[in-house]
Amino acid sequence: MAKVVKEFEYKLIEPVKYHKQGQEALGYKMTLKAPSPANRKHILKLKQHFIEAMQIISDKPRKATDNIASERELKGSDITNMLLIAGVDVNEAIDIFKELICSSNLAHVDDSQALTPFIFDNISIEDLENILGEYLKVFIVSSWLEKSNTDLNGSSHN
Amino acid sequence: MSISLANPTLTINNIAVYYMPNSIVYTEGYGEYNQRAQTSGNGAVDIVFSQNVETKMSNFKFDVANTLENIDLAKNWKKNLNQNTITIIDNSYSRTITSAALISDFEVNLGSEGVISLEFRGNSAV
Repeated sequence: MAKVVKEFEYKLIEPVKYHKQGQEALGYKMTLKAPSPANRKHILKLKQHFIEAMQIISDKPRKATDNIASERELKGSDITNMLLIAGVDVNEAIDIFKELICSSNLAHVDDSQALTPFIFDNISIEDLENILGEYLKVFIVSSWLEKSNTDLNGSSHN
Repeated sequence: MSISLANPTLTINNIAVYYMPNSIVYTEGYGEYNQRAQTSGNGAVDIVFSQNVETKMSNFKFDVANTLENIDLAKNWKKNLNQNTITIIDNSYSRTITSAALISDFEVNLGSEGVISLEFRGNSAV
């Protein structure tokens, strides 16, 4: 049985500005926790985006997905790239993700500051894409990935 | 066409704050300057410039509606002493005031159109 992961840490490529004890501080890492059933509305919407992307990708010629992980383990950025390649509305996915992790105390900056919409809006785009992908990979679609044994280079296309 | 800055988002300690429209007023914190004249006599005047560093702080004022949530927010800002951080953003314009203290002993106006007027003072805005 796969190990249940309850949280993971993400090291920011570009430190994020936030308010700390009366000063402007830089956050270097984020800790993200697993969602609960109470977050089902957001989780299912994100899952829908992902599965829609997988459906579209499976119809695409292999070349479009060759650059994504083959034999190595999928990274978070690979997941977001798949959403982008599929043409799924990634902006909407990020908005849903923002609502999810900002409202439910699911993320912290530097272990101390709960993530708020203000801090979220200061995160760089590259980091945002990676965090979204990583969160999907670790918590939302992990079982889907295991079941479907995702190997984009191994899928056959007519 | 120039557009007036009239709709900034106000964030204090990482939390977005609802405020009464058109109520935000702040100073940049450059401080007051003074210019005096000195003379060597015969009508000759030389200007003496001075900066009053006592005033080199940002003042930040705004009103909030008289709700329970806002009263609690104001109480917390008061308890934080001078460990509050204020940021206002309006498109490409932004200002941040650090080490801000809620200096006013704010009055809570209990009425249907009552507001709570708040005044912070902190480091010069950046």
